[in-house]
Order: sequence, then C-alpha cells, then structure tokens
Amino acid sequence: MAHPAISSINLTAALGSLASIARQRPMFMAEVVQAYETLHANLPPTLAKSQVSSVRKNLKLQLLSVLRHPSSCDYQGPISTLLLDLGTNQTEITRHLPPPRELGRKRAREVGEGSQKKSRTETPLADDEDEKDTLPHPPLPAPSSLSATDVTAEFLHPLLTPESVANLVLISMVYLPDIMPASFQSTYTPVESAGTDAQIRHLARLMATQMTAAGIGPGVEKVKEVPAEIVEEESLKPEAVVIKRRVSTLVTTGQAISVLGSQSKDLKEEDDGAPLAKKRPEPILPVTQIRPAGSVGRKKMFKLKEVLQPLTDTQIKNLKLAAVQRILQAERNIVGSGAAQMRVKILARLATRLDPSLKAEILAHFLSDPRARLDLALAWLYQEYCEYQSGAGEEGYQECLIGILTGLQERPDQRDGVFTKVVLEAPLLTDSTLDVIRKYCEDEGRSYLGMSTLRDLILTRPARQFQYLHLLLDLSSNEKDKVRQQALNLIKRMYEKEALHQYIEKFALNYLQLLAHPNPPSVLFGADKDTEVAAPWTEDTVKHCLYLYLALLPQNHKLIHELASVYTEATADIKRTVLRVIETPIRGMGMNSPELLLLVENCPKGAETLVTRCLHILTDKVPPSPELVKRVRELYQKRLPDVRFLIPVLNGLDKKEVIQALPKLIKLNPIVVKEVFNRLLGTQHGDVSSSMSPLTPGDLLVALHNIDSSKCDMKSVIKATNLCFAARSVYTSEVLAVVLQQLMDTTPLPMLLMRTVIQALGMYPRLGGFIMNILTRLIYKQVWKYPKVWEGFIKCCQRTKPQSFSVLLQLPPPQLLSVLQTCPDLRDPLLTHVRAFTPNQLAHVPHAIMAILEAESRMDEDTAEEATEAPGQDLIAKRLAQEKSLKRQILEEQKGKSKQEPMEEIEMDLPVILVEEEEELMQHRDKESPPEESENTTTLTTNSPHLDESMEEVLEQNED
Amino acid sequence: MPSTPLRVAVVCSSNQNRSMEAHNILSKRSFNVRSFGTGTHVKLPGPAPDKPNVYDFKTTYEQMYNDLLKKDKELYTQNGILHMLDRNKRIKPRPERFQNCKDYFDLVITCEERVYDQVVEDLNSREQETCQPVHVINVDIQDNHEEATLGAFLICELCQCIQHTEDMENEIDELLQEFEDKSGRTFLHTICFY
Repeated sequence: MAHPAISSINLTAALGSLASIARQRPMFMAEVVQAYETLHANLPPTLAKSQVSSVRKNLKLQLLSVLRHPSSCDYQGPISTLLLDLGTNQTEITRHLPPPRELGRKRAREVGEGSQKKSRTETPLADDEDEKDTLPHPPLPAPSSLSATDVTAEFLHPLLTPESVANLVLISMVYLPDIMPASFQSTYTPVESAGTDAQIRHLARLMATQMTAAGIGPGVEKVKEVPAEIVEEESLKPEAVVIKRRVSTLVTTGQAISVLGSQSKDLKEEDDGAPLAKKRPEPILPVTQIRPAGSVGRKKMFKLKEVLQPLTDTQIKNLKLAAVQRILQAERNIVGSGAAQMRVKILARLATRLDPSLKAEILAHFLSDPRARLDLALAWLYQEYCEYQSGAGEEGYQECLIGILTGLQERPDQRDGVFTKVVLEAPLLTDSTLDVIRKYCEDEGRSYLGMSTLRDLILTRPARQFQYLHLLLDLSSNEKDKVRQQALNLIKRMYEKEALHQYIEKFALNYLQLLAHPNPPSVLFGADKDTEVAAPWTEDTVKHCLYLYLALLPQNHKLIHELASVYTEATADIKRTVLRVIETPIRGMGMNSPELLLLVENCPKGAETLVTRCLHILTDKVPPSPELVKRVRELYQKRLPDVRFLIPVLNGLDKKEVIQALPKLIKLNPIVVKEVFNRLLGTQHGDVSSSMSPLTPGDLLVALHNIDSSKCDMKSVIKATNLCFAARSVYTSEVLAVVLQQLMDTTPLPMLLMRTVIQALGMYPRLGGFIMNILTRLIYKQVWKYPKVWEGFIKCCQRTKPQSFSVLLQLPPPQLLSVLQTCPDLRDPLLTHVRAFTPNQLAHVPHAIMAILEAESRMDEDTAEEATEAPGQDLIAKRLAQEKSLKRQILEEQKGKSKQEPMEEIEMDLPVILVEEEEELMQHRDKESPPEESENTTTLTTNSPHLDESMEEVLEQNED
Repeated sequence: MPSTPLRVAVVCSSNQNRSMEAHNILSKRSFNVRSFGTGTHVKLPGPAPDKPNVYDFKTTYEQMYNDLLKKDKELYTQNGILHMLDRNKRIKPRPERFQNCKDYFDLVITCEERVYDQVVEDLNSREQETCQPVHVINVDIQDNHEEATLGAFLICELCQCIQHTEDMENEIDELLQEFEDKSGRTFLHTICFY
C-alpha cells in the first residue's frame, strides 16, 4: 500500500523492485501481484497528471515483465485484467505470456536457465539437480494468498445485480470530490461491454481489492483463520520462518503490501511480538479525499527514518548471522543461477567487515568442502589482504590464513591439494603461517605435500626464498626419518640451482662445523634455548649435524675436505659416528672423484682413519681404480708408511708390492688379516675381483712360505697360512698340488713346507699318492739338511704309514736310522712290511737298510725303556745326538755321492712302482670300503688342530 | 549541484534531427552529452512519404550526404536534409543506436513516447549490475527542423536546471512539475537502474 505522500520517483523505483522480487523470488509473486492491484486501484492522490501516466506506464511495463516469467501462470488472470485496465491490448498481453510448453516443465527450465528463479520453498538445502523435479513440490503459495481478494470477489459477484450497483452509485455520489482527481482523469476508460459477466467479475474484483485493503469482507475473515493451520503445518520445515513471515504479512497487511511496511513489522515481530497493528502503515484514504490536480502536495515527504526504529545490538547481530547463513546455504541455488562469483564476493566482503562469529561460520562452511569452496577461501583471504594493505592490522589477514590452513591440516583427507593451493595463492605468508606449514611438513603422512608446497614457494617467491629455504633446511634434520628424507630429497634437487646453491651449502657446513665443538651447541635442541648445553655428544646429535651435509656430498665432492678438517678436531665418539655414516655418500661419490683422490693424496694429519675408511668403502664392492691405487701408493711410500692404507687397494697393486707388504700385513690384528686375505683371495665378492687379484691363491701361499723369518714371526705366518687353508673353496687339491710343487722347487726349502704338506693331506686325503711322490723327491733334495723340514718329514711319514713305508725304505740308512730313533713305533710295522715282500722285491732292499731295520728291532727294548724312563728330559740331548749323527751321515754321503749315482737310478725306478702299487691299493680300498675312507678323513681333519699345535710347539721351541 | 557534469543522452528514432539538434546545443553549453536513435534503421525522408531513404546504423553521415547528393541534390537541399547531415557529420561520424550502447548515463531524454517506451524497456531488460540510477524523461518533439530547435532549447534548459539541483533524486519530481507548468507540456518520467 503506497504511502499517500510518496513521490512519483520513489513509487517508480518501488514498482521496479517489486518486479525484481517477483522474478527472482517467485514465491512472493502473489504479494507482488496483489500489491500492483492495490496500487492500481489506489494511486496516491498527490500525483500529478503526467506522473500518473508515467507510473501507469511503468506499472504496465513491470507487469509485462512479471507476466513473461514462467512462474506467473497462476496469476495470469489478475495480471491480464490489470494490463487491460492499463490500456494494453490483448495481443501484446498474449505476446508476453510464457510459452505454454514451459508451464509443465517450468521447474526444469528454471534449473536449466540458471537464473535466480527458484523459490525458496521448493529448494531444500541439499537440492540435487533435476531429480527434484520429479518429487512433489510443496504447494506454491498462490492459492492461499490470492484467497483474500478472491474470496471477497467471489462473494461480491452474485451481489452485483444492476439494482444494487445502481444503489451503490447513488450512495457514493455523495462522497465524490468537487474536482476530478488527476488519477481518475487519466485512468478513466469508458466501460467496455458493460453488464457482461466478465465486466461484473472485474467490478467485483475491483471492489474486493478495495475491501481487502481496508481489512473488511469475507476474504479477510477467512484468511485470518487459515494461517493458523498453515503455520502449524509448515513449522516443521526449515523454511518455516520464511513462510510464517509471509503468512503473517497476509494477515496483518492484507490491505497493502509495502516492502517497507512489512519489513518494519517483521522486525517488530522478532523484537518482542508487540501488537502488530500499531506498526501498520496508515490505512489508505479513499479517493474521496480532494486534492486539486497540479497543486502538488509535497508537504509531507516520505522519510524512511520515521517509519523505522533502531535495532538492538543483539538483533543486529542475529540478523547479520542469519543473513550470512542464508547466503552460505544458498550455495547450490546460486551456483545454478550463475551468480556464484557474486556470492563469493559478497561473502568475502562480509567476512572481512563483520564480527568473528561470522568468520567462524564462513570458515566452517569452507572446511566442510574445501575443494569446491576454495575460491571462497581465496576471495576471503584476498579481501583480508586488501584490508591489511589499506591500513588495517595484520591480525585479520593472519587469522584468516591460519584459520584456513589449520582447518585444512586437521582434515583427514589431504590429497586434494587444497592446502598447497591456499599456501601458493596466499598473497603474503606471515611468520606464524610458516609455523603452520612447518607443522604440516612434520606430519609424516603429509610431509610430501607440505614440502612440495614449500619447494614451490622457494621456486616461485624469490623475495622470501631464503626464509622458506631455511625452513626446509631445518626440516632436513628432523628427527622423523620420513620427514627428513623427504626434505633431503628436495634439497638435493634444489642444490643444483645456482641461486640456492650457496645458501644450502653454507647451512650444511655451519652444521658440520658444530661437530668441532666439545659439546653439542644449543642450536641442536631447538633455537629457543639459548643456553649452553653441557650434555655430551650423542649419536643422534652428531647425525643431526651431518644429515644435510652427507646428502650434499655426492653432489659436491669438494665438501669432503671440510669433513676431513672437522674430523681431525672432533672427539672420538664423533669420529666413530662419522665413520659409520659416511658409507653411502662416499660410495655415491665413487673412487674416480678427483676431490676424493685429492683427499687421499693430502690426507690431513688426524684424518687417517677417515681416509682409510673411505678407501675401504670405495673398494668394498669393486676393485680399485688405477688412479686410486696410484694415490694410495704415493701416500704410503712418501708420507704415511702405514700398511693399513694398502689394504683396500691390494688388488690394484702389482704382485711384487703385495709380496713386499705381506709380512707387515699379516702382523696386523686377526680381523684385519682376515680382511686382507679375503681381498687377496677374492672370497669376499665373487669372481670379479679374484680375477683382478695380483696374486693367484697359489702365489699367495707360496709367498707366505717364502717370507723371510727376520721380517715376520712364524706365528703370524702360520696364522696366515691357516687362513688360506680355511678358504677351502679356493685352495682345491689342484691348487695345493701346484703350490707344493712350487715349494719343492725353491731353495732353500721353506721352513713351513712340511706343515703345509701335512695340512694338505689332512684336507685332501686323496693327495696321498702325490704327497708320497713329494716325500720321495724330498729325499733327493736331502731333506735332512733342513732340520725343521726333516722333522715334518718324519711326522708326515708317521701319519701316512703304511703308504710312507716305501718312501722310508728309500732313505739312506743313516737317515732311516734317525727316523726310527725319533719314531720307534715305526720300526715294527716297517719291518713287517719289508718281510711281507716277495723275494724278488726283497732283493731290491739294500742290505744296510735291512741291517738297520733288524738291528733296531734288537735295540728296540732298550730304547723303549729309555723312552719310558725319561721321555721329556732327554729330548734335547737326544736331538743333539741325532743332529750329530745326521751331520756325520751328510759328510759320508758327500764323500760317496759319485758312487751312489748308479744306485739312484735303480732306486728311482722303485718308488714309481711302489707308488703305482700304492695307488692301486688305494683304489681298491676305495671300492671296497668308501665309508672307512670318509671316516679317515674326518679323523684326520679332527686331528689337524693337534697337529698344528704340535708343530707350533716345535717351531716355538726352535725359535727359542 | 553535483560535482561532476551530468552524463546526458538524447535519444530520438533515427539519431538525425531531434537528438542531433539537442546534442549540438547541449555540447555547445559544455554538457557531457551523447545522442542515439532507437529504431532498427536510420530513416530519412525520400522523394515521397512512402519512399524513405533507409540506412543502417553503420553508415556514416558523410556517406548518407554523398548518397543523397547524388540522388537529388536539389530536393534534399531544399528540404534541409543535406544541411542537417552536414551539421551532423561535424558532430560525430555516424548515428548510434541506443540499445547497443552499454555506457552509463545519469539522464536520458527521449523525444517521443514511442522512443521513451523503447528506452525504458531496453533499460529494464538489461541485467542489473551496479544499481546506479538513471532518469528517463520524455519530451515530445515533432520531427521537423523548427520543433527540433525549439525542443533542443527546452531540453537544454531542463538539463541546466537538473544540473543545478542540490539532490537530483529528491528534487527532480518537483522540478519537472514546475517545468510542466511553465512550458505547458507534459513529461513522462521514470527511473531505471543499471
């Protein structure tokens, strides 16, 4: 209901607004149409003639635009009537009707068109696409809202008989004004088709409109009853508030729908529910009030202020919150209508301007679906940033950003990359924001996302690059393995970049330098503690300093020198840790690294262990390169003659060098020696390096035997040979045979020869034949001239009886005598053996030998007695006696050498036969009883330690 | 008085006679003024009432001038069309169509009711973006040279008065009423929003 004093221009504006409301919120269509009807019938009397025509023109235009809207179908009747009254012809009206086919599908169209046509009532919050179309819609407000006027019109219609109408005219004549009002003048059209039913209906409607506006008539009565029911029905729905408002509007302002009026009443209602009637705009004055046309009554201008009352703070707050919530909830509708951008803008503005509770509301809204609502978050963020830039404090912006980021971090699913997007799009990252990012990165599940975000920041924001880089570098010593690894990987890639190179390197070296301090500096325990820490270095703190450095090392080999210099200053604990952790990076550098070679060459004092460790790591899996060997050799020869340097590159040295170093090497501690042999024998890593070894296994064993006793004690040599024998896979019977062959050829005979022979026999009993051959050859080499070898010879014969009997029989008589003296238990079996000979064979046995054998058997008892009487005491004396006799024998033999030569030829034939026989025998035995043989081998092997001990004992005594 | 000069648009059917006459005078009084037509074509009188010369809005005044000069120099000199085109081409190169112009104005003055309807309809059919108000006022002017000149002066006076108001929105109603009384004409007036 228009205020009587409203100006034409305000009225026009209001008409336009109403049309917009009707189009955008079709649920208010009824009220709008009714308002138009009311206005049409009650144009403010203050309007001048030309203003009346302007307003009517405008009304017509707005009505047509409303009519064109698909939702107008229920109101086409009243609208058409109004338009006809306004002088629109029927064809124009028809032209503006929505196409009929749309009527059925109009809701589908509404979605499709994307305009803001959806009414609230038909779109519950979770409105989903077109499916909703098939669902029953809540009834449109149309029927109920039209009812007031309609009911009255229906009521009036039968009453309008010509007679009653005539009476009405007569009665109203009295109230006619003296001067015809301008509005009447311009709106009056001669009544067409008077008396027809259509005209009577129209008249009834006109009167009903007036009566409803005045709040009388059956329609008003009826509507007053209906709302109560509707309210009850509707209160269950979320839109109850909206509907209630609508209904109450109908009831209380049935006479006129004025936007301002209904609003003021609404607020009132929310306020305290005071009697609504008081707030109602003044009832319309009948047209009877006389206003001369042209004399424009503008004394009483409409003032918005007068109509409204200020709201309380709580009301304002609630209204604001409700408004924001409505905007938030209308998301889907608005997206459908294409105004999503506008909504985001509005929300962003509201968020920055309004109080924190609304911010929380918007934040929660964003977090409930971050991926879809990212643009909202960013718009808000930028809005906050604008505020900050235009002079507001930083807090708003910071709060917003941290709120968003923390919220995202707390969400379980982080793979959507929203966090990254927000960080990268944020116009400014404050320090506390970096803390949030750091926390995100430290979360193991998200560290990859967090750090790649950080990387992008470093690469795309040069202004604060180093700040971000520092954060990443800090993370590289994080105690969580995964986080640290992630950070290191990224840093390694960034290290390649020119701009970042230096900063990263400096950071790494700074940390490395910390190791030179006697105690770990407080930096390592978090930057906030500034006090000196007295705690000692632990492995963790040491590693903490090294992670980054070690990661960079393979990329920049020059850094190795820094480590070397720090290493010399560091404590033993740190050194140990360093040696442990450098393995991977050093291997990464490879032995061809010039810097590493330089380090080897220079080898700072105090860093020897480091260098050695490096060498070991490098040659652990692969043979040393010539270049590396060269450096090590130089270092060894010129500066640091520590044989340990040579170990890693042994396989790169030539044979002579190895043999030279051998005495020193085998004196090292047993574990190291073992390592040396592993390298030399290639038992460490397969065939590749064994082929590279400068010494064949045979060479090695031979070299060991040839070590000058002045350079190395026998014990070490023996241990070394034991190591060789332990490598059974390398020292096969063939290899040993070759070795023995070679040893036989050396002069003088190596001291350990017989020991090796015995051991070889222990390992490979099938070498027996071969060894008999060796023994025989030893006789030709006058083995008795080498006391230790001779001793071993006898032992060997003792062990290999009866095989050795044939060998023994080849000894010259004095030596045989010496053998029998040393081992009296040999005599009887030997004699038995000889006696078992065929006469033909017996003929070959020299008489002297036979004599000794038989003589000795006579003396047997005495010697046995002697032995039992004093087995240990006379040992030395006995030895001396033996040696004397040996010397004598030698002299004799030398004299009679030339005479003995032909004899030798004969004797040469014999052993061959014997050996052949023996072999036949052995084969035979093999066939007959193989288990027995295996038993033998086991006993032999189990015996071997005793053998070793006895040998060692002997040798030790000799040394003494 | 508003600090910025009013942005005025004068609109007639073909952007030839009435709107250009007003354009001419208003720009001489240093108004920020533009002129438009609302028709689908630019129509100029021809040799007979049922044979108008029809151009589209892309044709320049110069081209029209030359065309008519070729067709019948005497006729068009005599009825003043050539003179009018000559004036027009000094003001701007070619006629403009109101419906195609997306610029904002404070005041749109139309020269006949039909044009007023078209302008208001067009303004109402546009998507509302800024909600800046624009007043549309119709001043009926017959389409001949003399009326055009008289009308142009009236429009100019109206614009000057509006330019001098303290609060245009508040005073325009009253102002128009006074003007109606003074001039004995009626003005249609409405407000639209961009």
